[in-house]
Amino acid sequence: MRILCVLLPHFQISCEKLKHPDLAARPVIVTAAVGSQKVVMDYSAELKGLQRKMPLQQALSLHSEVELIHANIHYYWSVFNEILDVLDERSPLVEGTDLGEVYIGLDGLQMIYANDDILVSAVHAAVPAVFNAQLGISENKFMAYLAASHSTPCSYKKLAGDTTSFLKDLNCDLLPISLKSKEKLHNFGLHQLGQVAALAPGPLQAQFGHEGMRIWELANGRDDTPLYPRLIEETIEESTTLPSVTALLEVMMVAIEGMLSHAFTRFEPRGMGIRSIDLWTCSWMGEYWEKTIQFKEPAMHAKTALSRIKLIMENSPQLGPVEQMGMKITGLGRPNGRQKSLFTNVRAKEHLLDDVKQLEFRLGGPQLYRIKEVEPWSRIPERRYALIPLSQ
Amino acid sequence: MVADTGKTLRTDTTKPVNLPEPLSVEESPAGLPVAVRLKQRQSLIAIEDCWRIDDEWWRSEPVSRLYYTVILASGQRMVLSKNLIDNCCTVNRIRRVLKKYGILPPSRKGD
Repeated sequence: MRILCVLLPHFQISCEKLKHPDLAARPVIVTAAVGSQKVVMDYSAELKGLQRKMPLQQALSLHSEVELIHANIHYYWSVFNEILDVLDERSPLVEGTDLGEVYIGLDGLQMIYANDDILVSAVHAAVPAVFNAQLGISENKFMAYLAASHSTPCSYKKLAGDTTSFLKDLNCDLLPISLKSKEKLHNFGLHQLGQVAALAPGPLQAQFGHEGMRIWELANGRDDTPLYPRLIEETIEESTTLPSVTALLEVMMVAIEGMLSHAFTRFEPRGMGIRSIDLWTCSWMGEYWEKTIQFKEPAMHAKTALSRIKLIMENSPQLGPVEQMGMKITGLGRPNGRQKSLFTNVRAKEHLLDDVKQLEFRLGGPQLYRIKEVEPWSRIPERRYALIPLSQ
Repeated sequence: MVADTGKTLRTDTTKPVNLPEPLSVEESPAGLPVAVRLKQRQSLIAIEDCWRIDDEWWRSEPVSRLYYTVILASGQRMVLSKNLIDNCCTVNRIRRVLKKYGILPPSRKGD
């Protein structure tokens, strides 16, 4: 399959410059929190020696006088999705799983675009010039990425046939593998793809495990990763700025309830519920927290969704006092079918007690209990209530 | 005269609800809680209230507890108690379930 890679170099920095034009003249590092560690998410092109996902401390030891900006991932994705929406009009097979990297399937597009030049100019016209899109065409995703990264803005590079000579001098840092594996490659003295390709796959597998085979294949220009075109799905976004910065869950839950109620008015009349929500918060320091919440069965009411969200929020420490919150409802669904009783509430209690007695007889002791007040005035919490067997 | 139901009276079938459950709590040198370990470690951002209960001193197992109302990093409010006899920290987890089903009256100290 022929693939076109649209690379938007330093995408997050370009987004920040769109928002704050005064940043254009200053070196900037966009940081993100991974657990308790801060890492580099993106950096200005003039800052040499930096890499994405590099610990911030390491980056600051190389460039101390830079401006640090907390990543606003929600904003980056909204800009990126706008670009993907426009590219969707050029081709039905558009993948955009990583910020600033778009892959477009070209098979069949020759019916619309007579040649690659026409196609490339259509894609260039779709991406705003501020992002300096670099384009590359090849037979697989990795090679298309390499072609794009070696093309100049407003043009494109095509890689086909024998690419050994092109690959051999390229740096191993271009491989889409973990930072740790890249460091390990350099420690072994393997700095160029040609050096890795010259090895047999066995030793690489012995050192890197499953990833070793992938490294060897990539270094030889092979990439079997399929294209995952994005699914066009109805999404509903809601966001709010809290009246004052808060660390209290109760206040956050009130804001979430408001957003959920508003969102439900848009799809509840159609008999639909929520299957998945991306919930995000932004602290007053600009730190971004995000969590995807899945529902086993579509939540048909705001209250149902709220109880699950509360449970998740209770176990998710925030990065600081929260100022902004938002949600993206990414999955809408209809309720699962249920068999209902024809005669409801007819001697339900008697039947239940009969079943309870049978259960006790079979298992030899009380199995179901009810809660009863014993000493509701007690200062000791566990003295206030007791469990009494349901059959008593 | 009340009719005999034929049931055997059993007191051993009654179970207490909301027994304090052990909880791993990190304390400052001053003895105040600073973090709890639930599904993951969560630091405390505030201690809102603190009170002490000494009761049942005439029994073999007297009750002597120090309660804290704390706010976790997730924003959740939680009541922790420290047993001053064995220095174990506990939490009454069932409270939320009882409140959900409308069994618990409005919050008060010791919940």
